[in-house]
Amino acid sequence: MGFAVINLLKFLKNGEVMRRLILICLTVGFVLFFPSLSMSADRGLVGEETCSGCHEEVVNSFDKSFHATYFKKGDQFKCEKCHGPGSKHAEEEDPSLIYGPENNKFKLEKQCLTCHSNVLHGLKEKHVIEFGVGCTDCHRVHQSGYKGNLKMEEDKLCTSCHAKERAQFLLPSHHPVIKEHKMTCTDCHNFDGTEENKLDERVNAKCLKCHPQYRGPFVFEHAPVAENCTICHNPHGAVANNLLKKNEPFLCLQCHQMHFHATLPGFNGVSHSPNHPDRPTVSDRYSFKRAFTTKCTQCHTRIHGTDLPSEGLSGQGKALTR
Amino acid sequence: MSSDGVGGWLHYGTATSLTEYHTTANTYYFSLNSMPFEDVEINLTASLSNAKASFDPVTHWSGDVDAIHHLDFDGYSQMNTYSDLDFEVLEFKAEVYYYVTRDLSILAEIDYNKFNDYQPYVYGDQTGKWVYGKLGFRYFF
Amino acid sequence: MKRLLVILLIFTLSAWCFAGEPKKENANYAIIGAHGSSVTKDGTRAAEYDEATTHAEGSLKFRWLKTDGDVKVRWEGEVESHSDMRFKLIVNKGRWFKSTTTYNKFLHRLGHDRLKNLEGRESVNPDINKPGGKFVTHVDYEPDLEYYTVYENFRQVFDFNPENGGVFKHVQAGFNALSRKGYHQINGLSHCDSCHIQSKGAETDEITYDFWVKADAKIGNTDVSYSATYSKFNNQAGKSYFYYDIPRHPIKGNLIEELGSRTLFGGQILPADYNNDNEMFENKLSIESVITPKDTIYAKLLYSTQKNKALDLQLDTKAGSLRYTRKFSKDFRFDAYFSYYTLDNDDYYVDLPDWRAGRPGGGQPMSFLRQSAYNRDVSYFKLRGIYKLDQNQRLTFIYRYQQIDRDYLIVNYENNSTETTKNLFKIRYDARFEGVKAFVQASYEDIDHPFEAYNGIYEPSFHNYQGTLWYYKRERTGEATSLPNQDFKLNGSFTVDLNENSSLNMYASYRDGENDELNTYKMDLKYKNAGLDYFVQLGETTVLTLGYDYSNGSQTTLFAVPIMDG
Repeated sequence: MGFAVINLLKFLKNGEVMRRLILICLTVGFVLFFPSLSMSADRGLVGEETCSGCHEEVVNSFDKSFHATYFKKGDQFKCEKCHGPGSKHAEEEDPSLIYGPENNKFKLEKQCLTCHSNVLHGLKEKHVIEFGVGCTDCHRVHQSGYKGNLKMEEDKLCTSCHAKERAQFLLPSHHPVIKEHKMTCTDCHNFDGTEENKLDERVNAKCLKCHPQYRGPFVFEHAPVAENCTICHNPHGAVANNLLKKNEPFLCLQCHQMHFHATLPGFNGVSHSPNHPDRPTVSDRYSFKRAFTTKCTQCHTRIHGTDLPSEGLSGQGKALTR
Repeated sequence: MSSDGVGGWLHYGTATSLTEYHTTANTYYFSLNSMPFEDVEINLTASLSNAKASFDPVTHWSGDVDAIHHLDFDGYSQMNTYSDLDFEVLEFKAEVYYYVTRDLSILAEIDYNKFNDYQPYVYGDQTGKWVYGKLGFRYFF
Repeated sequence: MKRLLVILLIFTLSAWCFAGEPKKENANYAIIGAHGSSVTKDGTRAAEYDEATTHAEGSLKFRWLKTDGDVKVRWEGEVESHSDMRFKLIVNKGRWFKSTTTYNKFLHRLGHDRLKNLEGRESVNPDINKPGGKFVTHVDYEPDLEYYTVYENFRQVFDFNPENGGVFKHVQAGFNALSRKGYHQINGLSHCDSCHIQSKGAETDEITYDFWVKADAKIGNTDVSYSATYSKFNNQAGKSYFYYDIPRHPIKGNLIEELGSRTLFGGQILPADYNNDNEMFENKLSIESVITPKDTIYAKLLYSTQKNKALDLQLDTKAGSLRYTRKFSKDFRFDAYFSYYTLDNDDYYVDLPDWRAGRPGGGQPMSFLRQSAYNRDVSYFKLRGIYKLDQNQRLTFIYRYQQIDRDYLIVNYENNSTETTKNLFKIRYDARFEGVKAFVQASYEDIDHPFEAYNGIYEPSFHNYQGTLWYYKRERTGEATSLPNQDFKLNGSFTVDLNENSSLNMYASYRDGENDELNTYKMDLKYKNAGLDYFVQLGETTVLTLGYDYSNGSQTTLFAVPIMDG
């Protein structure tokens, strides 16, 4: 190995050989480099000052945007990095000769992918790859007013396509998203590429992030809670309180039979239990119906699970009343 | 009391009735963002939603409904009314900006929410109104 | 408030002649003002997430964006009241550093259950209005208390993107604190000598801390990401207590020993409705490897533990997924995805006294080993093909097979099976032209034994039982569920730019499901949604949006009433 290196150095010390080598390098360099020099002129780049001539406000707004931090100070070709070469557009003032969100949006969006190509950490999976949503459908790079360079406020943007969810958020029971602006869609939905690759160990994990009091694990369980929160709840909105898909008792009676006391007729009149003279009871024929077929969770309060046993030994403490 | 079948002193069984739950909602939505004059900006949003949920009255039972004479199955015909829901939600928001200068504007905002509870549930009648007013300055810098 | 109005009026009039052109969006701004609000009648729903103050209160809203070289700062906030505010501060330094700080606080009013329906006395012979011994009574110790929760969320995330060309491309460290404070309604139920429901307010004072670190590395063509999260839920509120009635005969007041032997407590003040502290620790590992320009593999592993700290109960989750993506051509992409997870919750021995201990004919053991409904192995396999018809249109086909094998939770009465299998077929068409966007999607899912209460309803007739242990005879044999075993869904949306200034969106969805494998009845469900939005720009400065949405749903169920004369 050492011998080979020594021979190579001797060879290079030969002046004639060295001259030829330099000549070859210059020739090759010229052939390779000249077209790229001429191309930068040919590429039709005009620079930021020309763009500012007509689009001053847009150019200025870009400097405030997050994307501006990706360019070096004084970079003249920021605009054309995304919008493509602008000389023809500048000459003819024809909007179709530049990559814009209204014209040539597909070409413009291809430019986005030069930086945002990574799937795992990118934004492409469900919306872009499966649904074919384009970058400019949601983002406006010059718009720094909204987070993530979104075109408009997040909830308005999402519900402009997801109108069914917008209607659900306007129902009497709802998470405070589009009316109250206390939450955003991305508080629950990930757009970081994990929607498709997510480890769907439990849908519940999303809900328990903000409702950790129901994480447990509890001694006395309610099976559908272990199964999936959405068996009973519609997270976007519902007519019944607490985002319930149906109001009680119907919701409960879809899986359970009625309380056996519900069928008892009521006594018509006022009476006192001898054990509790302090508890006057106004009763009528339907009193037991009203008591037992209106809202199950008035008694079965711990419907998400509990560590405390209920009173009845016959039910082995599992009635979720305490 | 006998213990040889029907009429025994303890009795078990089930009565059943098929019923159907219904939800209906109509939502109307309106928004207007406008600068009718050079120095006045108006943003209006309004939504009206009426939402109902109910199930069909339970009147037909199958099973041993008469096996224990004092049980009351007729009373179930009113059961659906205990938990029927009927709401109307009106929301209105108006924001007006008056541009005193290019950078300074005066803001007036009115919010009005009206919640009508036509079928009160266990929470009592939740009908109510909320009115919100705001006055302020907006300064661009 | 009046003074403020006068000042504003004078200011407005004097400034009228100086009116100028407004600035456009993206500018920094601050809004300073005062607000007041009032509630008429009930504010629980009309102002569910809002304050209602009859006096004037200060308001502040602002946005400040600043770029200085490679440092960019974004600061925005809104303060409405001490329980309604939000702030966000983002600081970027070039590409390598980002700090995101958010703070959000809001109020949520909760309803107050009046319990009015919980009152009555049984009649043992309604024909002659003969009173019986069963009573339902209620008492609300704090009928005027308003219930609410104030959510308060602080979040700090640091992101580092090292630029030195090393292995680590992104490192993140974060902290999140979520607190819930306020008052909520709790009920206590005694149900032996009479059915007595007591109610009062309990303090809500819970806080959850999350800490996490995440590191993304690139090794050759492989991206590796690891994250670890620790989450701790602390219930700082004191326990609330109720007095539970002595179990005894409702009329005669006797049988205390007999009924006491059938109940777990009575004649005592005991805690109720309380959440114990819990904690969670989660580790995730993700790998994405580009094998060739056309072939990519993604893999994920997860291990988490969730622990009830008061009882040393632990739920473990282990999950793994593998996905292979191949771009067969420029126009056709195919994914195969496999995912598996297992949940393992500790068994818990519930130590109970024997049934009617010490009583004649009693002594049957009631203690049991609680085996969790969580425990299960779930796997699913999915195939997805996306075919681009052209630049504007694509077709997507999805097939997914899912199997849920529960350890203990039975979902089929007939053979006590704990297994659910699902087959999903989905086809979707998307179009995106200049001026037109549309999609239509149809899916059908066949589910063999969805989750159900396998013995939720229906007790067989039984006429000649004479024993006293009637509880044991009340075996339910009927299956009941709200979930379909055949589920068809169709939905679509169409958006068109009518002209340069207006667009119209229409959408509709339809769902038709049924469950015909129950041994009790055939369950049907139908849901319909439709809506339209019209957007129009009137002139240069006016934008109008009109929308209408309609939804309608129906679902059948079988009401089952147990008949017993006990």
